[in-house]
Amino acid sequence: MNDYHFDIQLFLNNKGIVDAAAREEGGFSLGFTSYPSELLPPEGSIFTWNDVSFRFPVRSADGFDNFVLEEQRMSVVPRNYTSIAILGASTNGNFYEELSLLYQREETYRFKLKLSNFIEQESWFGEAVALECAYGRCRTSDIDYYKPKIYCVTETLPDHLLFDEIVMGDNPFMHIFAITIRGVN
Amino acid sequence: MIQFFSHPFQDCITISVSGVLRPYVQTEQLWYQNKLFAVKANDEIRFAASIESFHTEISRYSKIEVDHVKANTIDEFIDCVDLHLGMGKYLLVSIDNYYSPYSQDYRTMHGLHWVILWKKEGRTYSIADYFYHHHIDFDVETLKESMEGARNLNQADYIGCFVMNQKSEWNPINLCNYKDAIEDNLTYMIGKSEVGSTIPDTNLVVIEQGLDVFRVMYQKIASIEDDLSSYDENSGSFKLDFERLSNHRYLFSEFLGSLDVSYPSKHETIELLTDISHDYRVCRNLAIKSAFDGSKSIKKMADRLEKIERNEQTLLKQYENILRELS
Repeated sequence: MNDYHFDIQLFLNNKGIVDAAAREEGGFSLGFTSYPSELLPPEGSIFTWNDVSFRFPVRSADGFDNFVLEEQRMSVVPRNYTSIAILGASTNGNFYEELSLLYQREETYRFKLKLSNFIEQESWFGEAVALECAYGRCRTSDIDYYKPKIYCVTETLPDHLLFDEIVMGDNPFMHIFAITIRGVN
Repeated sequence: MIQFFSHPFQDCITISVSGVLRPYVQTEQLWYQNKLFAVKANDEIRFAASIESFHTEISRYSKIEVDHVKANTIDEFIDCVDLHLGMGKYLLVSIDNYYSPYSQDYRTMHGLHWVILWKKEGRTYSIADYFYHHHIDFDVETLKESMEGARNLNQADYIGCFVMNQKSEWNPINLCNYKDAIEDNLTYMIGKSEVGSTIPDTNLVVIEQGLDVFRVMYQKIASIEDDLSSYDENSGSFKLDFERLSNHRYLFSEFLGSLDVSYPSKHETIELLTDISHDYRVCRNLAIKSAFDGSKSIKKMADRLEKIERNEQTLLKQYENILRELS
């Protein structure tokens, strides 16, 4: 089995991780609370959690480091995959949307991607907390009342599923930082 | 002793009430109002899941007594507070955040908030904020100031609070209450009984009820799209209204799950209510976001509302199914 790090660089559309010096640029939640960059893995680094490796996004020229769901259609190398693992979080609520997997434009599988609010004290949907920061970065200061989290959702796929496209739902309050698809060589 | 808990679908009133009663009462059985109204006051149109006050709602089946106490002056009111605290009762009071030293709006912005006043020692009053998980003490002058501020925000000619006898006897719901709550919501969703009536103690007039409220929602959205300068005030009222609708739908799903009774459409109905609640919450966020990106979020909000309307229609059929299955 191999972990394939899906390249999300083309889809980045939100600034969620900021340095203290650029705190005013953070726009993760509607109240502009973001993750402090010094408490998360460096951009572009490989981060392993619970035996699954992820590639953390490289900040784009616009300063984006994650993407919110806007019905993106993402092409992947067609293979037989066994699971899909997603690092992400919601803002200003606990949200879910359908995520579809397609092969040659035909849907082969779909599941509800559920992501809890990033500052929830405990995950609402029971998903695992992969990363947790000791404080949140607001526009004027760091607030330790908030403990921003990034959750890991793993969907086990049925019987070595063949697909070549991922289609996201539409919800600008659900954010994704990394996608790893596990499959056979 | 006060113990806080978190619940993302409770506002500062319901979480305060649920928090106080939780050690003694199955609080999921308190909240069942799940209707839909469009109301109007001073040319502003708002949307609500209930036109009944919270204390009428929680006492209907549980028989928990909550007294609405009113006074004409702040000094009379403080005497009243002292009397009830002396009897060991907890008081639900509204305060103005502008005068609350622990609030981020302290001395910057006026805003109504509900907290529990639960103890007095000397001239110090202990306040439990169940919504923000804060304990704080107010001296009598701060308490007076914050409650006078709330009266001004409420535009009320009295100062009032709700007295909770938290250890009083209560009735768990039975099957008859359960069906009654469903039937009550269904009746209001398909009828027009309240259209044209004024909500007691307010200047709010019901202009529509049931599924036809969506027509009013779409009209309000269209008027925002026509007049970009009205974004701020309209997104603010949409935010509050969608948040409350989301809360009511979710709390009713908990109500339906709270009675140990099985019937074929139970799980499906609870899931549908959860979906509707979820989508109202998305609309709430889109209302806020529309202040930044305007028509993009407004369009998404209208699309999401169409989905909610379809699900609300299905929900009414589910209510009928449940009543049939339980008859």
